[in-house]
Amino acid sequence: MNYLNKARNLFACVMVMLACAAIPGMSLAVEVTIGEFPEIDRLERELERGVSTTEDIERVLGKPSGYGRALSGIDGKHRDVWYYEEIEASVIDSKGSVIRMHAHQQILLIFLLDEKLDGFQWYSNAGALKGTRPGLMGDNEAGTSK
Amino acid sequence: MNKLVNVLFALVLIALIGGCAPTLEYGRWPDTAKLDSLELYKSDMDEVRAVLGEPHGKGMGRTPDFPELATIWTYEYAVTTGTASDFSILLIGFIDGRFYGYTWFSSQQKTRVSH
Repeated sequence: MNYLNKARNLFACVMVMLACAAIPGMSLAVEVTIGEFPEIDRLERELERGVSTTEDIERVLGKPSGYGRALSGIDGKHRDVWYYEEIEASVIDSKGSVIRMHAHQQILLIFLLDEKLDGFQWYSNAGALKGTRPGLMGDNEAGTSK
Repeated sequence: MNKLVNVLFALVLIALIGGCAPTLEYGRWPDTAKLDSLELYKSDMDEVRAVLGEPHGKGMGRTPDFPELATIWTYEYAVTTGTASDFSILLIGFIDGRFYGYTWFSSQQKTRVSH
């Protein structure tokens, strides 16, 4: 499923929420961080599909940020999902109606079958967000993310 | 998306003007325990809607998980207080209008802010 893209869209919205919420008096020198990303290269080097256990995964990648579950129509099997994430956002500047931000997001999903590693997906980006304060724009463009 | 950003900024500004730490909430989270009541390849969209409620979004997909063109429903929830955040995403897949699987994940974390 294309859940990583969906997650990215949701997180972009949330980062705008967070960055704004973390700006007391609209002071701009602020950085917001959520989570801590594991060393991704250790995943292929130290873990093995169908062999590595939940204990192995936690030892190599650390404790996950969250959990979930999946059911695949391909084989009809349930899988547990472990979720790792790190999101950093910092405000670059604020000019007029526009707040410009740096955003860096990394997401890793681990799929477990019978408590053993069955697969993974990870995603990382370095992008920019631009939000516009409401009521200050002259046209219908209210905000963008990319 | 544009409307959402507008609404969020309005909420933030209201909270800042009010001098309180804003709690911002987005979406709605269904009871994932009810997913077990759905039958793979059998339950239709009406049954899924009855169990989980109206989806927050809809899309299409053709991936290794979906050998044929699939309809995807999404449910999302996010809440942040500025010091803690909670994100949750659920995707439901349908092929030929029948339930073909799901993926959900959820996290609750502290937010670190540095000035």
